[in-house]
Amino acid sequence: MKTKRRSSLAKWPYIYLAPFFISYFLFFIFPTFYSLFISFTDWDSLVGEAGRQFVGFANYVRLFTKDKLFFKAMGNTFLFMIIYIPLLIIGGLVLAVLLYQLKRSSRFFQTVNILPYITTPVAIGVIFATLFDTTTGIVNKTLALIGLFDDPVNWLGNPATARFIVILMIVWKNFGYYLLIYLAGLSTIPEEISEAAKVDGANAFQVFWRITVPYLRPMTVFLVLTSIISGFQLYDEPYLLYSSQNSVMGGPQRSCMTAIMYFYDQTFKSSTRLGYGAAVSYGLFVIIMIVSMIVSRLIDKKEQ
Amino acid sequence: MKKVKKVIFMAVVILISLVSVIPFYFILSMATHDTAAIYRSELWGFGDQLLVNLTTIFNGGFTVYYRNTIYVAVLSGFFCVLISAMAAYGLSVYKFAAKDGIKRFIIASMMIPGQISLIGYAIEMRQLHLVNTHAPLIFTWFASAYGVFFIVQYMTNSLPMELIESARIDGSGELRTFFSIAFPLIRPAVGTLFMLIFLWSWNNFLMPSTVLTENNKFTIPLGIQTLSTAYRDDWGARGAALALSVIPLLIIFAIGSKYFIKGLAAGAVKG
Repeated sequence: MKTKRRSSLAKWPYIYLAPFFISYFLFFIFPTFYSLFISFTDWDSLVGEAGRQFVGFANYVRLFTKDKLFFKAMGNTFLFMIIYIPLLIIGGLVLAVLLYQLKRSSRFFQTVNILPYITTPVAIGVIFATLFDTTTGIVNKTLALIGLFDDPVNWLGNPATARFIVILMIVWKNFGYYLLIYLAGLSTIPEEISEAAKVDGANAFQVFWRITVPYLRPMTVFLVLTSIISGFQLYDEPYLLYSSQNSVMGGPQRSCMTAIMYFYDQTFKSSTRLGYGAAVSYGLFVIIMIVSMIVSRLIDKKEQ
Repeated sequence: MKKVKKVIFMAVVILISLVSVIPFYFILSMATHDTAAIYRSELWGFGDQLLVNLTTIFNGGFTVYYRNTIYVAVLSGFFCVLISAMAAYGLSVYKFAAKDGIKRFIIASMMIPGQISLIGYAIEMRQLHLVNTHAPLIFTWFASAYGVFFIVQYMTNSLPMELIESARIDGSGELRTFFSIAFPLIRPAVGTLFMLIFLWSWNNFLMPSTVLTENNKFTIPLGIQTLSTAYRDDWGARGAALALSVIPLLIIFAIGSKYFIKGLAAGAVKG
């Protein structure tokens, strides 16, 4: 009796998992391999499938040896990440520790600071373009009002300040998320530990450095790894920073062009070469995998 | 001494929080001014042009963008929650050989960036004649590894197996047990996941810009792009468009923050 019931249950997990795996195959696995196949071809999307030619590794060879713009885009992306990830980690950690001590009002401030994170990224690009506009932007108006600069600063017009705006935008947007993750982590630290350390004569800084920081290590690892993956996907905000101006993609001297911006531009906008675009997306994927592997190796090594 | 420290903490926290919200303040104030007033830098206060600007935006087709976005986001959330909850139930309640392998596969696939499938997906949708429909924007949420992972985690803590067993003994079929016993028990997780998918679908820009070209099919992110170009010189209208696309969502999420903050933190604290 019992074995019969068990065996009648055997098909059920597969029935429950079927919708997920069928959709996963149709809408992810198949298109992923289709992209891989396309990346070995020369195919202009304006002509039909008849115009598709198999070219082997030619797209990849060109991407990794000749494509200066791809390297420029990767360089920009690395530069942004090297600056904003440490800023977010340190800022988020310090504010989380401060906020954690203000127990009662902590949820209110957590909610206020998460608002930028849930704001539509496209809107963030336009908002910052508006705030930092040379003639109408409130930033220049305010700077003139307090007499700091008499001449309006052309924030979006030259590479250094444009990059500064992009980093500011990312930090503004993600700060609340880092705060949220660290606050969640802080609530897992048993209070007795830091109490005991204080009894033993440790000051606040020592408690922070010797107990809080090591305890929050898993969250830091999570944030660094996911920030690297999402950092390579950066697109909406810097793209929209320049959408309402007749400027080249990626701002002055392409200083804010990101990897995905280049991918999208090659595939759907300034050129329609699907084959090359697919190679760009796989090249990017390989780089993401290598970088996150190196970073997690480094983390593991430090742990031992 | 302790009190002084607390005041300083509070000041730092308030200052940073102000930076978080001040751009929204300027967007709102922009929406209430005409362009001339914005040039005269009257943005620190509010003006009286809100209705004029709103009229401009609504005549520009903003209602259509709104309707499209809500429709897509609700259906995305619905299907994602249903399919994820079913898969999670299959992984939590039954014992079978491939179980651990499938769980590992789902966690690993969360690390893969989505854009490697984007070109293939766009061509696939073109061949299925689904370009300029909303179907591709919804299909893309059907199989969410994050969704399955999130609900599996919730089920391990709050779905008692005894309850499932006793329902079976009482003669409840497998489907009925899922829909009328398990589903109500995981409602908080379902609500959180729905909110997150709704938000991600609402904010999505790359996917709609590859499959939509007709203005009346656009979602809000595409609409913002269109309007910010169309009203390049009408700064008030631009402010109104930004305010309308951002503020309602912020209010909904501020009210539900308790639930979705939990959802955002889930990946980091357990994983």
